[in-house]
Amino acid sequence: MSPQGQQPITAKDVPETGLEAQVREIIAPLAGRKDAVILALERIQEHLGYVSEAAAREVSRTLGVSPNHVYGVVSFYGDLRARPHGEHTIRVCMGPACHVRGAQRLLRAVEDHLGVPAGGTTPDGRYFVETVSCLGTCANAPAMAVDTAPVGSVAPEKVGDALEREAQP
Amino acid sequence: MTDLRTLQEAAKVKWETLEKGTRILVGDADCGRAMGSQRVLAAFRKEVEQRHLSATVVPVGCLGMCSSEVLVRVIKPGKPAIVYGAVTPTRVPAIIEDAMISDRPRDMALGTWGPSNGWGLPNLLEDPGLKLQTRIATLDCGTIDPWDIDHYIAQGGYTGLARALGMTPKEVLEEVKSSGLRGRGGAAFPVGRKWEFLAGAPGPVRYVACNAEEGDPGAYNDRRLMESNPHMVLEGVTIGGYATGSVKGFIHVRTESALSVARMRRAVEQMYAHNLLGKNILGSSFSYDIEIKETGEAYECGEETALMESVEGKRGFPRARPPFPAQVGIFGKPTNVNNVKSYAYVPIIMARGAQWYASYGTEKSKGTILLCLSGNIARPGLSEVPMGITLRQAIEVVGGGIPNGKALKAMQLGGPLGGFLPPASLDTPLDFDSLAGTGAMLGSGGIVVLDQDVCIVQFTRLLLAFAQKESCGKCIPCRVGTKRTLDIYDAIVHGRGRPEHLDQILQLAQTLTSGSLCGLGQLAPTPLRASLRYFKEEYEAHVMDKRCPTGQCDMGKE
Repeated sequence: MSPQGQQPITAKDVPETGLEAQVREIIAPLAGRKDAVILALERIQEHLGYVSEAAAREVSRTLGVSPNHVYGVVSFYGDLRARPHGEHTIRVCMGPACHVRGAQRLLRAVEDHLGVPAGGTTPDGRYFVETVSCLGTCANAPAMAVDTAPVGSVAPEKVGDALEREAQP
Repeated sequence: MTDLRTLQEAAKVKWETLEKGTRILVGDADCGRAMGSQRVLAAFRKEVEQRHLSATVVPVGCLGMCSSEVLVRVIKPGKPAIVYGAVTPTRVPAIIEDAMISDRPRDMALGTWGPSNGWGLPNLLEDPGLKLQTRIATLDCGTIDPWDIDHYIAQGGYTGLARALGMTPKEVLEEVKSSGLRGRGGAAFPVGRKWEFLAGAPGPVRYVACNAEEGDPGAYNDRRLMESNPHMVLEGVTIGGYATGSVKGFIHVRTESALSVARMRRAVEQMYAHNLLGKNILGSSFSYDIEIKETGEAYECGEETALMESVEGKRGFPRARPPFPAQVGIFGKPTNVNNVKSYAYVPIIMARGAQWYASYGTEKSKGTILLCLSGNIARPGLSEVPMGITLRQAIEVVGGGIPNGKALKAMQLGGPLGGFLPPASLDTPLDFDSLAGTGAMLGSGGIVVLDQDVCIVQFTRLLLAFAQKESCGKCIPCRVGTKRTLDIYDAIVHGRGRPEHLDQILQLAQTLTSGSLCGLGQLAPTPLRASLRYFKEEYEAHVMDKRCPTGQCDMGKE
């Protein structure tokens, strides 16, 4: 399960009503499809950065499953989040290949550079840092990912450059 | 209605046009992307445009030299490919100069892919590590554009499906059975026999599922295949659907593998557009659909019954068996689940015949292994080697041995639920059966190499922490057992270990194995048992002397 963020942040400055309309638009094609709960939630998270309670209720209504079912799914899958995190997610790989090639040093460098521990979001709301079990780029260890972009063979002292390059606003 | 010949002719024209000019192939699977292939692609495109060069820049998948990414191959018409490794955007102008402007590439290239044309560059295919590779599933990986169905068709793609559609489903089943293909997801069960269970299931609606969850830390061959050649996997799933009389195939892929998801989605759209999916495929009476099912991150969903729950949009809890999936599967219908790699071999088996495939590998383990080497090894990456090569060949020849003058300490095989092997096992053949009884298994093909500086207790703790985190919580032996085991490991690596802990973890291991509902809990203690078996003295140093021989554990001092 993904760790919860520490500080409350406002990821997007869109009025709540606007967000609800967007959520409805995203999941409208999935109406009545109980099997598409995970897909609906992934798409919502892509858009909002997390699955808000309002969005979860909308999924429950539109797809025809109970709110409990939706909550159960959100809390089961490691990448789904019930609370907003930073604008960009920095995922540092702690897998076995990275472990033997300096994952701990890389994690410390990321934490030091951003000034937040894993599981936290920077005060400006820009970065959320988490650890993951494997990014699948084991040949380029140690690795991290900035949102969906993998970054391999990261030297701890180059963390700042990598973040600047990959995390486009 | 389309027939394959029409598709092939169009694809051939496109491919030949491409071959008439210079091709710049840029490795753009995740191994390339992790090293900046997107920026390298952009740099090549810009350079080609600004200098008005006649060349096509093509994103391709993984060529199997992941540690040399970003890998670029420049192929001039009728000439061998010139290979450049570790390419960065700043090197692009010099590479263009070297490969395209001068007629004699210099030593900035790694070598050529094939005989070097009198250029004096090394022929990389003569490299002992690359020579050992046998490309069946990865045949076109790194050569074709995974975004473009025509590239796959031009290489002979979908001829396996076309041949299958000309046979009866029963004949296709027999062909797959006689190829000796065994499942690549870990259990090594014969694919054809598994398909037979489904083909014999009652009722008109049955499903095929492709397990592309790949949550195993240290394994990435499923992803590389989907990123490099998605159509090959999808063709396999379609042939599987035909052979078993199924109406639909589900591809269960984790959202986190974003590039796999994107390429598989694009490939499915192209298949529909080319009548390779949908109604009356290639003019036959066979109609079939494929749906890409994204799942969030949950290793448990790699277990086939948990996968079926996830396909239905639920939490990925495993189901009790019986009933088995071939009786009651997705949405209550009979279902067959195979791994990505298992499906990937099927098109070429159908295109070239079962006997051709069976000529590779060993008596009981036919074909090849898609090895994922990682850790303390000189050349980590994906490679395809024949079944039956020894661990020594894999580590020393394919992987180039242990770097920095260090000694090999252990090999961790088969993912987080697999075991360890010591250097004394280096001459064990890599196949499904030779590893039985060693404490390790081939699993999905991942080998993490550990050198002398890695603490085996802490490394085992890492694998157990993974199992604990990923335990779905449905059954108590696994939910509580993995936690209690992890607690003890935490005590040991922080200098609070007690001699009786070594007995306690073995007892917990027994409970996990005998009491857990699914493979995750049953196999979670495998690394524990194997590391205790081969490295007991290291555990004893931790619990008796409160000392970590490698100095990796803080032992409570921090």
